[in-house]
Amino acid sequence: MDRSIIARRLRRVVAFSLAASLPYVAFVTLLIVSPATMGLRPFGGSVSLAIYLAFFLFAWPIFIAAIYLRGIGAGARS
Amino acid sequence: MNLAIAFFLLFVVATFGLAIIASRRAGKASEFYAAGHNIGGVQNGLAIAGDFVSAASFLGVTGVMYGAGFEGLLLPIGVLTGWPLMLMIFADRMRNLGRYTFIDVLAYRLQGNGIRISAALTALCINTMYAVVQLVGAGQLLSLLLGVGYVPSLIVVTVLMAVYVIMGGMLVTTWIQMIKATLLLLGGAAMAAMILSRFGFSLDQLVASAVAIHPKGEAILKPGLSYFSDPLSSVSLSIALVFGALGMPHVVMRFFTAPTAKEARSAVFWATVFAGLFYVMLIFIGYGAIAMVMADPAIGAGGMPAGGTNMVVMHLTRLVGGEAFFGFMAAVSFATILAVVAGLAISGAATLSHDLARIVAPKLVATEKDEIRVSRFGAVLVSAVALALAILFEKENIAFLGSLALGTAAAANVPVLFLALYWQGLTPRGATWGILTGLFLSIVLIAMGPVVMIGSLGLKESLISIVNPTLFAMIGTIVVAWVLSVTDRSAAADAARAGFAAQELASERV
Repeated sequence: MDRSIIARRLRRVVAFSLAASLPYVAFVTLLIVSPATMGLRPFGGSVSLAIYLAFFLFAWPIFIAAIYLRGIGAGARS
Repeated sequence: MNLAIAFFLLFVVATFGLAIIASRRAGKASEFYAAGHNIGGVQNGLAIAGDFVSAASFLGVTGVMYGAGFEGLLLPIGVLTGWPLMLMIFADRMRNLGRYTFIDVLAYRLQGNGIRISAALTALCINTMYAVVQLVGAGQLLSLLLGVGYVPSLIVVTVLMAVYVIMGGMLVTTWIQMIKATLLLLGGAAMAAMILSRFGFSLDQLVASAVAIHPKGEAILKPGLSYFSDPLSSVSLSIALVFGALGMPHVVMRFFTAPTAKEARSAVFWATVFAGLFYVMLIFIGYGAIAMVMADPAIGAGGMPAGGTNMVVMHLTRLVGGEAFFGFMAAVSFATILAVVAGLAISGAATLSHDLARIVAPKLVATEKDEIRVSRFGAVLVSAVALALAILFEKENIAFLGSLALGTAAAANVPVLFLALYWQGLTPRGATWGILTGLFLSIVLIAMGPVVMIGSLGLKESLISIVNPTLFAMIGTIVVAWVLSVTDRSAAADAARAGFAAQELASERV
């Protein structure tokens, strides 16, 4: 099989795995595992850990999509 | 005439002008359904984001946050979580295999009328459900804006939308979607900044004020107050949110407006960026609504503001920016709803004419012109059904109603689309009955649940307690599709399996 196809598929697998594991672990943790921890205030103010996590969860899909696009682009060029 | 109505009329006139321009190019099927397959990545990304940064997001999520705090944020987080998956497993493959609707993709190697009819039925149900969501928001918004009743407001929206779709097809829908997404992003950013300015640009102060005024106190900082109150409901609703976008016919249809697979991928990336940016603003807008609207004695103190939870954000715009900003954001919200409903109507129309009429009444769509004529009629039909249902669901929160439509898409369409693209063993029989199982279970379980039995019919109890049945419906779809495929020994099944290699090659074009 052509190396570029292998590289592209490998990147697809890596990116897919990242996308499929990280968010769901975070999401499920956020939702179910321990609502009590969500009341933690990491910087000593009024804002709970859950709200800081929300910023992260809104940002990560952009990050992961960018990585994937770069991977596919590199695969296509090689 | 007040500013709100002036902005509204300005928007109607401007979009009507766009519809006239687009109507000159909407004579061919490829222009009417797919804007000539010529929309670039950034523009398409704006339009796709526009499909999701909709009434359910802006009006509905703020409404959920007003009642339950943090939990409201989980709805857009869930939706956004699904977008990298859309990019990785669907975007380019759909673009390469389909022409006008996602049913083209299913029918690439799964031959026979059954798959087209079952998928068309599902697509029409999902489109109608999501159109109801938008129309409920539109009816309440126009009631607040123009001071007319809920039903007359719904009729105004439906007529306007039908005119745009009939005249301009997918092209005008995309243009309106792009303009509205830009305005909503700018308006949302301005709103977030104005809210923060009232609290010394401190998120801490903003949240502390919200906690102090909300009757649930600190509970608004974590999930558990409403839709995510028990693990089973949480998992089921999460699945609906994460996978729903991947199966929404009007969103998937946007991939066919991209000229290449690369542009389709680029479109999803930009859509993720734009939607992510907007959703971040909801953190400030949602808690701002609690801190400001609930604290205002004339609006929120002592109960629900006029228009219910869905209109909380409109009251907030008036508080932070005065009449002019309220008018601007009301017009933008209206544009949001109109653009999304127009997209749904186009999608429904394409399904009726391109997929269903070809099988049921081929003479009606004998030529391209006939097909477009049937499409225009279909757009009116889909809108009329949604209008009737919107009257029934007036009191429901639209963010949650949206999650039911997403749930049906996640349960019925996503497993079968995924299997069609990635599993050689899927046969027409498995796909057909899989989709129908997902649709049937979704509708029946929603109808037996509290949203319909208690919320809409006014009964004291529902037959089942789970509000979002996506988990069960999705499992049902997968099991039926798998069992009926592996036991299928027909010639059509052999042909479908034999066609997988060619499909895979065609789908992976860069």
